[in-house]
Amino acid sequence: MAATTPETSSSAPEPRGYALFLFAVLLLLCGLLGWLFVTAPPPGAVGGPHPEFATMQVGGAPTRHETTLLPAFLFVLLQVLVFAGLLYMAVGRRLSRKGGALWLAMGTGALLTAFVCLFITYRGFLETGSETALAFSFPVPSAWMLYGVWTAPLFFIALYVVRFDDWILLPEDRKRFEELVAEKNAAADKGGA
Amino acid sequence: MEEYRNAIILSCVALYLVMCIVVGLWALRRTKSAHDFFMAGRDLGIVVTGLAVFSSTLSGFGFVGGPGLVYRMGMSSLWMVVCSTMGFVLAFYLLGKRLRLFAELRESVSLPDAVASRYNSESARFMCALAILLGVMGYLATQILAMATVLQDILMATFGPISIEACVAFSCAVLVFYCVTGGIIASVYTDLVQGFVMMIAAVLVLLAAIAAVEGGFAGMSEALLQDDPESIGPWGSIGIFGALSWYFVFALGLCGQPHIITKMMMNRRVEDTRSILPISVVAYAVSAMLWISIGLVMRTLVVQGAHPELTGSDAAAPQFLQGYAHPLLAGIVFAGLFAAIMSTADGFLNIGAAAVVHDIPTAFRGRKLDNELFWARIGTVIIAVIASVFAVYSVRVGGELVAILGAFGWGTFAAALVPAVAIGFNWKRATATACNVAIAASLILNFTIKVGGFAVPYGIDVGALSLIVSLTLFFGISLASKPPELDPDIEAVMDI
Repeated sequence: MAATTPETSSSAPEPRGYALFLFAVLLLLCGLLGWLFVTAPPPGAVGGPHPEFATMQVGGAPTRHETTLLPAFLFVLLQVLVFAGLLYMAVGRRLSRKGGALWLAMGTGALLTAFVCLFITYRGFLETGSETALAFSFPVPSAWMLYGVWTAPLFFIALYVVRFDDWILLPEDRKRFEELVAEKNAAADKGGA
Repeated sequence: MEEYRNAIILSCVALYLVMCIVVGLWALRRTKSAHDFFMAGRDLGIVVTGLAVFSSTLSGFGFVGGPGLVYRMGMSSLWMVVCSTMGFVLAFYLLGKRLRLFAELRESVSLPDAVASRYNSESARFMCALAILLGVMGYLATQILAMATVLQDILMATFGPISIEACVAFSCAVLVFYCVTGGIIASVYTDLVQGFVMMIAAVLVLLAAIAAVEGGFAGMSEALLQDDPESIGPWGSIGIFGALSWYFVFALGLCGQPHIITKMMMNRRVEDTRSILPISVVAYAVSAMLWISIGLVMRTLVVQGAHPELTGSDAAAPQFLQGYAHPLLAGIVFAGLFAAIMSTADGFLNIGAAAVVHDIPTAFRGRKLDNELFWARIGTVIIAVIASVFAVYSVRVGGELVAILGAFGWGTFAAALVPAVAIGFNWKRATATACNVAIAASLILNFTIKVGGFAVPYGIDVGALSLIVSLTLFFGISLASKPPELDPDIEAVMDI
């Protein structure tokens, strides 16, 4: 017989909303990919051979991205929503504890902000080209990619470490799991006897 | 010291290989059952698990193919690196606790074991094992081939011509020795050493790379901006959709890599995942410096005319080490390269053996084999031999077959296993039918596009496409189906 458990963990009904949200976002992603399949890519969309060195490729004219920036941003926005939806699915039932939903939203916002800054500065990069400014040794949009997009999820890692006992494995979870293992072992002993 | 360069490199590599053999012999005494062989007795400490997770993630591809891609495409392939933090976040939030609980509750010795428990379905076990086996064969063959190729280069510089078959046989023999004797215990403890070697090598290479070009990274950026601004822009040559599709499949796909997530079932205590996550992320970030720095420096030097054009993009790392690294550093990095390759290969060998001797027989017979430890060792040898033959055959016919299956690896695992495992273990509504359909659809889609040679527009990665399709099918079928009835203990553990 299932044991009774604290309201924040065991018997809480599984939220259907996360799954529906993720399904909707995935359908939008499928729609976006479908649209890309039926539209003709601009010239040089996937680069080309280097004029001088056969083992290298070049991106060519930055104008290749002028018409695809908006759909590309939509692509990345939907990706971030998938990631956020999955994180909520993983710890969603515990988010009422210690402002959990807000903290996860802040992490999602940090990642999205890094991407927004990358896209905005890339628009400037399209105009400045080889004369573009460097930030921390890289062109500004590339610096956003390396120092922003790469590091933004560190916020989630900090949350995982700091909020582990509140969101991931509560003390009552440990107790409940020990009970489950004990029940299983007792049943096995009984069966073996 | 320069005249001893080859001898130093050879000594470093030999020392490293001897260490692997010693660890294998040590682990032999600790491996007393199939549970030890596949799951390390679920008794691994925090640092060992953290470094095993990271070193399994950064394979030989990261040390050879990664710099090669940066040399060839500019910044494009760095999306496979910058996604790593989000990838580890997703893997640990979704699976860090869940897989460990399942492993203990149901005494799972493999990922398909846990999948069968979750869905109460032997067909789900079989499909999961099949996906793993298909991915493993291609991936393992590429790792063995990479190891043999590097070994051949090193040996030829000292001893003259030597055949690739001999190098495959030798590399495979060392790998098989410690995997057969010590199973996953030998694998994770060599991963520990391999992880440290990789980190030290990466930091030293970063410093050498900065010194190789005037102005360091800023100097590289300036030079590449003059040659082709897009190459040092955020998308590199492949373009915006190609780069972003890599971000997606490499971030979310980490949750579906069986050789990585299986390690999450082996730590001593569930709460250890709290410390394992930051260790893995930091170790990966440090080691990825090698990927970034060698690729950019070699592209810059060639563009500046300071170095002749490479014969192929994969020559970026070896050429850098030959031309710009101190002999001792070159020796450490070559040992690190072997470490990167072997740390991934041993994980594949272990999960492949589990699929063949545990999962597939259990799916059909309803019970495991007698004397499973013996068969696990035999299975490990057989898989290694088949992968080696496959690798040699591929060289003889032109190398295409392994290249196709190797490229097939990450995307296949991602598309097949992310829905079944990462979602399924966190969502009680997920059904076995959805799991089976998602795995089958991803395998068919990946194979059809890769083998058929179909071009996906805008450079979108096939694995990303398959992953989106399999996830959509998984959610759609599960939502449209009657909610499954779960075993009470499974339902209880999913509530935790």
